[in-house]
Amino acid sequence: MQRSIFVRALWWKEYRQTRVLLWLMMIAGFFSTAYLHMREVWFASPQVIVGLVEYLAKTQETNWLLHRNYGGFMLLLVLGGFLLSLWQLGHERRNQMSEQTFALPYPRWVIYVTKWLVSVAYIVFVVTASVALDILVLKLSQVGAYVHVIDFIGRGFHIIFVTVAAYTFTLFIGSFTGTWTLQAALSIISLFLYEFFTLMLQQLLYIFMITPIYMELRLRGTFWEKFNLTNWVFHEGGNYPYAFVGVVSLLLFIAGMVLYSRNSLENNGKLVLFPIIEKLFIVGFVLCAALFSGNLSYDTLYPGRLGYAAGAGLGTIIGYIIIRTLTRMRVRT
Amino acid sequence: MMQVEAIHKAIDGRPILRGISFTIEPGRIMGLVGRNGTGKTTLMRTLVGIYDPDQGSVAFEGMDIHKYPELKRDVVFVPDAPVALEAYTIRECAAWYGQIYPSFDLFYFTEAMERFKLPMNKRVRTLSKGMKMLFSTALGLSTKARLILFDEPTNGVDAVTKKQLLSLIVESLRKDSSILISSHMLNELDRIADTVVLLRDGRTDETWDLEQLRQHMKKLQVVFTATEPPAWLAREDVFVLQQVGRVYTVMLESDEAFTALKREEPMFIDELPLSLEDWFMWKSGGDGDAA
Repeated sequence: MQRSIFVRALWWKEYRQTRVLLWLMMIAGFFSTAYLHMREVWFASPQVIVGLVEYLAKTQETNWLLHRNYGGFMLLLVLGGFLLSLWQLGHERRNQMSEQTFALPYPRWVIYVTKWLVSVAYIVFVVTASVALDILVLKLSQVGAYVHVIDFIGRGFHIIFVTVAAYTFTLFIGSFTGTWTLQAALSIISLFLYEFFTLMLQQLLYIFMITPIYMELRLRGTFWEKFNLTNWVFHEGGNYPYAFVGVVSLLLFIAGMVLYSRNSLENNGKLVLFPIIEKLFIVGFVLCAALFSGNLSYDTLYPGRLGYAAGAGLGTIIGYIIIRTLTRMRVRT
Repeated sequence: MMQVEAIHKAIDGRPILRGISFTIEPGRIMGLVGRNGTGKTTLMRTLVGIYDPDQGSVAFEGMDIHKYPELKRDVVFVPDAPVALEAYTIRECAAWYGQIYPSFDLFYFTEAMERFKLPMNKRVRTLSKGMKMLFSTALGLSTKARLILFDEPTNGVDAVTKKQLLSLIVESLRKDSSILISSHMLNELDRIADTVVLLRDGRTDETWDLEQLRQHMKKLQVVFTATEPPAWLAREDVFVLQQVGRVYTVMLESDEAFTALKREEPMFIDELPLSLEDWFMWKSGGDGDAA
């Protein structure tokens, strides 16, 4: 049977469901780009504007025009992408909405691809419109002669790349979680997971004298550092790992598509939809609880191996009880 | 049209469907009955590809509906409440369904909305329960799909709306189309269904052609001469629906049972109109709980 990847009805549904977020992203984009420049180069006092022009003429440093590389704009867009993924997958698991979606005459992978494409279209549209408007604002001002459009285009591409990568990550999490709350929680936790493990493992190695106190975990440039979602968004300096993030995002996109295609909707409302992933989730949770409790016990109760081991043991038990209770619960859908 | 072959489905490790098999023929209204928790909704959701079966297959015109979701252009599911459409207006729903289902009949839908006095620009969430069901039934029927599945369409709606709903469903049946309805309201199915499938413990216990059922079975009121209940009542093909003193209301499944009854020479025999509810009471375990 002939299958099309572009299904108008699915695009309409996704747009109708998430259009509020598109407009919110547009507003956020305007206030974090063009509006800031309008205040500086249109509405500021003539002395300030003249000062700016003189500074630019003297130093030729036009980079500040990008407003610290549009950092705030990018963060707002990443937040928008995160909310989009929650709305598209987590929220749809409530109120029989995913049942309605799966009853439609389209393959599930096409539904997932459409969700992704609609969000990518939003991100591209918002970045393009915001950056174009910002360029226009600057070009029409007295600093117009110093605006290099190519810098803005380059930055725009970077923002699109980062936002799409972060969105793909959170959408992937939604492909196997049964509630929007866990999708949100796991997405947020994954921002801190790398730092958490680095800190906890370093302490563990130190306490058990496996490495001397002065030796740090050498993770710079490794897979684990690159795999860190925080690094994807907040990467500083040059050498952004485009190839790595691109490949990982592509793999996450494919994995999300496969998992979504195999979603068992009867498990909606549970923490995790797949029994095997649920087991991994339990192991991960218990491990984190053990490391954290061991560390806490070492720092506050007894600064020795025994203190650490006792804390880790207790953390394992409490962590297991908590996660088993949570995984047995079912949120009403 | 649709062949359901040995469907098994477990939820949370608990088997819900344990070997469901039946066939849906064109031009017929099929009723799906069973007590609460027997898996009617799970079965319907499996038939339309919302749930994947653990074992077995659902074929529409010989093709597996779980492998070829495109087939669902001709298999439409109408749930017991249009919760997923609540954020949309009636007009938006119609426009959206028009994009999904190639045979969607906008004229039929608009006419139905006018008939039930439902304004097209009203949001679905603002409609009453009965209005919502009229809307979603009309929307499902407007797709002109060849098989439409209704999950408890009359649940919680008033008598007038119920009548409107059922007539809408019956009027829409074509020679090449079929309708599957799961319902608690056996008296309604009795009036409109051609065939009834009984679900018990996750199995398709029996499938009955209602016309044949009426020919085959008898409901009688019998008064015996003796005070002691006769051994005839213990026959497998006889079921006692009610007993008041020596007056028994019974159901008979065979002509032999009727001949044997005559031999008992009861004081009085009267044939009563047979209803689906009587049959269901017998087959579902006899305590007469709703389907």
